[in-house]
This record gives sequence, structure tokens and C-alpha cells, in this order.
Amino acid sequence: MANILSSYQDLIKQNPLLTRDQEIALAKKIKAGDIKARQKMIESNYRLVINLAKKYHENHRNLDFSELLSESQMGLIKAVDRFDHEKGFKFSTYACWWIKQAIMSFINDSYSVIKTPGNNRVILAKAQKMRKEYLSKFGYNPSNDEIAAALGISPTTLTNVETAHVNVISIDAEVKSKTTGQTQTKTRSVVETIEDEHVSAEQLLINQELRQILLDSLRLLTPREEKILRLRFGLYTADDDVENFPMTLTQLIELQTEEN
Amino acid sequence: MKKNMTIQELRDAKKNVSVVNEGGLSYNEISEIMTRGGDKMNHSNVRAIMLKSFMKIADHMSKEYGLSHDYNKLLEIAIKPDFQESVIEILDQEINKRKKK
Repeated sequence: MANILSSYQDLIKQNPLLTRDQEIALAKKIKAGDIKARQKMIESNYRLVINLAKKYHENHRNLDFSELLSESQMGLIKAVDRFDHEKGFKFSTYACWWIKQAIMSFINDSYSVIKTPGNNRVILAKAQKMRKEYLSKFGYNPSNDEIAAALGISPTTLTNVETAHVNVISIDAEVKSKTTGQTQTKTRSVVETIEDEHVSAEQLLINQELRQILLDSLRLLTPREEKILRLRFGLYTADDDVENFPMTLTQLIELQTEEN
Repeated sequence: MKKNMTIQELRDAKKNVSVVNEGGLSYNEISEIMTRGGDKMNHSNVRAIMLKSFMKIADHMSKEYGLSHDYNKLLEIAIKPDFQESVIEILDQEINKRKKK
């Protein structure tokens, strides 16, 4: 972070803060299409960008500061392009909101690999805060319906928002597992901890062999034995042999309904 | 319709067709059907035949794996619900195959 900031020091030194009159003069030139004036306006407001980026980085340490700074600059550029001096505000007042918006948008995008609208994060934060308050006040976790009703949104929306903000980790991320009673710590990746649900080729062959043996065994049954097993376990149809393989109660009711 | 009708009542109610619960018949109901088909037996016989069938399958399978189980061991295997379910599942698939042919 120090290295990045030092690279900006020269730029800040070369571009002191603008006075109100200078701001207006530059804004007029920018409106007329002067690229140099635009550049000057951007470089003169780097202080604001760095200050805001630092402030947000304090609460979001997991984010890369240089990326946060770049995003803040994008917000500044947007503010420069849209600034209207005739409205009477200082540029820093106007730019501040654009920079904050760019930072918040970046934070929102970085929060999860699932991209969601910006207001979803606000809803999530409100819901989490409300859950904590509810728990401390009433002593139990509120249901999704209660939270949704309090926030004025549908339970489905709340569920979708919460589902979209689940923590996603890389399959190659390291997982540390401690062996009980020992200080030894094993490190392995997430992928190594996931169970392989596919049946191995060897197991498949064993299953096939077992199935074949079972089929051969079934052929040993006499027709009478097979019939009794089928009747006992409901392996019959009423389609062709109603005498030997009777219909079920449901089927009878259906038949009666049709006739009536 | 009465909820707990006997099989006889149900048969009389509709075209002389035997009616059963979903999923399978009781030993009594099976014995009735078998007797009506000319193979006279009671519920006890039905149960014995069913167990004998499962034991026959268990015996054949164990021999295929080089094992020789006595009567008690075979009976123990035959009455296991897991074993019965597996056999019935394969039998069901086999019946469906036969139907398609």
C-alpha cells in the first residue's frame, strides 16, 4: 500500500488543490471539450480519491488497495465528465458521491462471485442486523417471513438475496485439519475433501457380477414362487391378468369413478 | 365405499376382481388368490413358499461366491429386509424387461 501511495505523491505535489475560481474555469473548458483541462481536474483531485479509498479499505481489508484506488479513480473521472459548475456546488462535494458509488459497486462485486444488484447487499446487511437485534431482544432466531415482512420485501426475495451472498471458496483453497491430541497440522485442498460419489470401475464390475448372479438365482424360481413374490410385493398389473394379478384399491376407485 | 372392506366384499363389489392395498397383498389375500387359481393353500403356506424362494436365491448366490451356508444362516439372510428389497428390485426390472420384449 505504501508503494502505491508513494507513486501518487509526485502527482499530488505537482497538482495542488484548486481554488473555487480555478475549478469553475476548468469546468468551463471541460464543457468546451478541452482534454488538458479534464486531465488537470482529475489530477488535482487525487487527494480525495486516496482519502476515500483509504477510508473504505480500513473496513474491507480483504480487498486489494490498488484495485480499490483504480475504481475510485473511475468514479472521479465520471464526476469530472458530469460536473456542472452552474449548479453552484464545489467539485469535491459532487465528486465525493461518484467516488463512493464506484467504491461501493466494486465492493459489492468483489463480495461474491455471484453478481447481484447493488441494493441486494443493502437488503442483506439490514436483514443480518435485524436478525441480531431480534435474537438479543426475543431470544430466538426470527423466521424468514418475519424478517421479510419487517423489511417490506417478499420472503422469496430475501431467500434469493441470502442465497446469492453465500461464501464461495476456490476448490484449490487450502484446508487445515488438526489431528486430535497432536500438534501436527495437515494441509490439503478443498477438492481433496470432497467425496467422490461415482462408483469406481472395479465396484461397477462387482455390482454387475452380483446382478448377474441374482438374475440367475431368480430363474431358479418356479412360476408359483414367482407369482407369490409378485403378489406379496405388488409387482403386478391389472392390464392383462386381473384374475391372477389383481388391481389396487386406487385403480378400483378410478374404475368405479369412470363407470359412474 | 367402506374403508376396511374384506377382499371378498371388494370382489363382489366390482366384477369379481380382487382388490388389494397399494404395494402388495397380505398372506391371506395371496392364499385366497392362489386357491381360486387351483393351487390350494393357506396363509402359512404362502409365507413358507415366500421364505423358501428367498432362501433358494440366497443359497444359489452364496454358492456362486464359494460359500456353503446351513439352513439357519440362509433363513437369516432370507428374512433380512435389505436382501428382500434387493431381490424384488431386480425382479421388478426383469419383469419390465420381459414386458418390453
